[in-house]
Amino acid sequence: MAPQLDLALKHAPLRAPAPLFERGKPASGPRSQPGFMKLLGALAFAFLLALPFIDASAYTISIATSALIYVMLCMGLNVVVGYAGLLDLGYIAFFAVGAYVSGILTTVLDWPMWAAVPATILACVLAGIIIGGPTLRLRSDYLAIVTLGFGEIIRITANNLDVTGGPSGIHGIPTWSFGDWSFRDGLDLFGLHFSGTVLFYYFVAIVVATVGIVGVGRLARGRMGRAWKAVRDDEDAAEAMGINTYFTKISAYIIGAVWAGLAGQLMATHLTAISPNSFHFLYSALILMAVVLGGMGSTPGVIIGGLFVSLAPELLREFAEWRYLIFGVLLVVVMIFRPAGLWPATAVLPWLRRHKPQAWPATAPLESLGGDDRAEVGPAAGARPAPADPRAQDPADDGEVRR
Amino acid sequence: MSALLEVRDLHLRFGGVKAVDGLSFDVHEGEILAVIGPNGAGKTSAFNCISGFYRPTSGTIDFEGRSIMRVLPSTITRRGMARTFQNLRLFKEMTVLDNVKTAMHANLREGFFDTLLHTPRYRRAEEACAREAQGWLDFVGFEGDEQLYVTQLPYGEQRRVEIARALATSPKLLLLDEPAAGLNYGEKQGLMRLIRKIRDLGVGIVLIEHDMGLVMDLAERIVVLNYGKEIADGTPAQIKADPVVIEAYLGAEDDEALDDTTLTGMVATVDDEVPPSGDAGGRSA
Amino acid sequence: MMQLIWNGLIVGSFYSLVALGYSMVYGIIKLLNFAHGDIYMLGAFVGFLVLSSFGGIPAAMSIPALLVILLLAMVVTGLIGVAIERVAYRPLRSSPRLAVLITAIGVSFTLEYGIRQLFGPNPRAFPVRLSSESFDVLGMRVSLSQLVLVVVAAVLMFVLAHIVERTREGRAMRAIALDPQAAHLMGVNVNRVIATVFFIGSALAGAAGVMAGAYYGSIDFLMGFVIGLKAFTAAVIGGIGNLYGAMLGGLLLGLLESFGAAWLGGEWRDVFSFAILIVILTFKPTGLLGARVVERM
Repeated sequence: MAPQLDLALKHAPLRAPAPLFERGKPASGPRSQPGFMKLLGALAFAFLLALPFIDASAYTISIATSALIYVMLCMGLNVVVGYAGLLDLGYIAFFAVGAYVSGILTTVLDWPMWAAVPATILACVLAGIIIGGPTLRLRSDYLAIVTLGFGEIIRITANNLDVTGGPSGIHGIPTWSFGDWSFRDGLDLFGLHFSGTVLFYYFVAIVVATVGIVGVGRLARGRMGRAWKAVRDDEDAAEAMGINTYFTKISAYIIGAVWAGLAGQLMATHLTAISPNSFHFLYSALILMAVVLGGMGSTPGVIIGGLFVSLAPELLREFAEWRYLIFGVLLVVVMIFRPAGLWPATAVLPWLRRHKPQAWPATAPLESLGGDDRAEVGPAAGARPAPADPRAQDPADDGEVRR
Repeated sequence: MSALLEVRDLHLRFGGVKAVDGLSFDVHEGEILAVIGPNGAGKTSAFNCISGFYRPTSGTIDFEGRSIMRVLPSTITRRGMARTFQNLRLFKEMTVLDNVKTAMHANLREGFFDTLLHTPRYRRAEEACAREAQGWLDFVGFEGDEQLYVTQLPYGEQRRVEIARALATSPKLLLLDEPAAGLNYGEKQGLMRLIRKIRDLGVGIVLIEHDMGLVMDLAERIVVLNYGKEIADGTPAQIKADPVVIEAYLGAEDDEALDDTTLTGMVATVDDEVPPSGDAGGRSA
Repeated sequence: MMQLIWNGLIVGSFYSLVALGYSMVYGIIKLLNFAHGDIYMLGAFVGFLVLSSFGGIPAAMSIPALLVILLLAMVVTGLIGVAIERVAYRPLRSSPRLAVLITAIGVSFTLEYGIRQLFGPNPRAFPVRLSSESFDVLGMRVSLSQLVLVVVAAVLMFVLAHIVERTREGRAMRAIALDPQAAHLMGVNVNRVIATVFFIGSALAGAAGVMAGAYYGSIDFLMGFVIGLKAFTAAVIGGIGNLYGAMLGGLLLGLLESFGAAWLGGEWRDVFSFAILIVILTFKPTGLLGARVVERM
């Protein structure tokens, strides 16, 4: 089952010899790691959908909506910090860009909210390039301070300009409307009447957050995600592997910016008003804490972190007063004792079926492999199971190179 | 046959220290060339110039007839020159398989939206990528579990993975920086077989190595550096008999000690990042 | 015009004092001590505590009393700096930079919000105000307190330069900055020297905090945040790791800001200095006095 290599790979002077044996299919099903995570995700999704039927009070739904917005922000920052290893201390600036762009377009220019979505994305891509362009060549610690400076620049600018409403910000951001119908009108579905903008925002937030979570997960496992992690682990080695580290970093930055911008637009509609105070450095730090505490580069960890950071002050009123102090101490403690976070990216849940190491074929032509001293040890090879690929039995075959 | 790599009169200075001082050599397709020299002779610095990590002070470097001066290392790799590092630089928080897959970055037809939407193109690319990566792992004789994180592997296996990773970039020329460092006798024998096998694929190989036995056995041609200067270029037999080389290697214990201190001085003045390692680290030739 | 220069120099000397600590710590362990600005804030609060426990201080005595308190606050903040290094940074010395940086942010939050829990979120009035009598020099209005401030800052910087250039400790610091491993092999007690650096850097920031409290008359738990950023900017302008660079950078930033604010309006002051930071890092990341650094692999 050789895949169509020429469709998948660009022309390259050297192709690998065929593998000596076919690897078994990766584990699947609910007791494998990916299967279990899918199941968990589906359950969480179902719970979110069911929540309004359990407790439809405006308070609950509203908290849940802002928690989802936080999760969206955390997923975006996770790309920047967790995967690409770039410490961004001004991340909230992109949230601000999203919120202000959609706010200004819908109030000043009277655009419908849905039309503001592509504009928000475009603005965030641009903001990512403008902020990332000059700064991403810097060393990691300089980057942290410069992004912090940029975050403050954006906030102070929003505070000083007229078009952004100055210190009082923008009010009366309209709700979503499609033609004549808007969220305010409610909807009759399956004999049920859905009403109240709060509920609609909640569903929009579910959709956006789900897309955000699944999207980041997919990107992280693909070609681009590997490049991000390579840059994080060793920039020089990544460069030596043909990865343009600068563009890779900018791509991570742009993804982070777009995710934050969409979250910003959600928040602008959810709260109908925005002001510069919502984009203080504190919030950048809060999102960063969520990502770090949960586990950088770990989707479940970051979701848990985001939920914790957003829900804890609501659920524990006492806690709200102390939260920044506690978060500060937690950051230090976690970094010293559990730097990979609560749910590390490399975690393998203990009750799941463990992945089985590949077995080498018995008759693999070890001598021709450039194998080490083990090649001389005959009997060890006898213990290996039979090869899955007959090709492996022919020593001459592994020299076959498609050029 | 024109040369794959042509280095002419290469100079590299760090402040006042001449790390590479007038180096010229050629490498041809399917040839194994070794670069040797006492500690701190500028071998790794020369490698770093060729692979684009340092900007040479002067000289020319042509790869397949095109200049690769002032070209990004990633672009040089895409043009077909791969390298390994002296002190293993695998991606530590990635699995063995992902390490090798990462090296196929530039050759993979997989766009942003393919990944996001899991299009057939994405599936095809990922499948081919995994297959190629496994092919290279098998080729280098990696026998461990490819789903392990690289830090879980013994040192010798990590070396193999690094070579597989370099091969996965699909190179015409492979630069190996002390590939035998830290390997035991058996592993070195395996490495020699592997390097010959890579050569048989038609890949040119440049090799920095301290193990003279291995170099004399393996290399078809040897370039000897001392104090950044090229002092000899010839077949192993010629090199063995060259009085200048013998002088450089055996003539002066003091020379080498002196060499170490100058390099340490250099590292201290130009570098606030990395403590001196490798060349200055006192590994004996 | 001259007034702008003088005001710039006053603010600049605060920046310089804080920037010195930034630069020293960065120079020696390559750590961007994010919590450094908060040490400045702590200095102000230590001064506040001591002064308010004494009750009032007669105006005539205010300058000598302030100097005593300054020294006291320097010792306290210096020790706090050493404690922070011991508890939060030392365990992570071999960790990736990202981890240490995040820890520093944690420390910063701990200090800021710890003080907030202790002293409340509202600004406190500093119990001593320096008299604002002023006289004219070269067309600038100069007050006695400003003069004292500049003199104290200059003395502190002079002492620091002496320590680093002339003493054994200073030589050890420079050695570690160049190569920690080699310094260790040469018998330098690396941990002790790093602790000393934290002590000196934090003491300087603490001194700046007390002076700022006395000069501006009001202190709050977030006062270190912006000055931390500005001081970092100053350190980068001068070339991070370079002490004279930090001093120069602080004064320069003070001046630039003073003119920038006069030109663009006070509300753009911070934007202006962050923009300077970004421009400098983009075009000359080594700063004015920084050595050209070849990043070796």
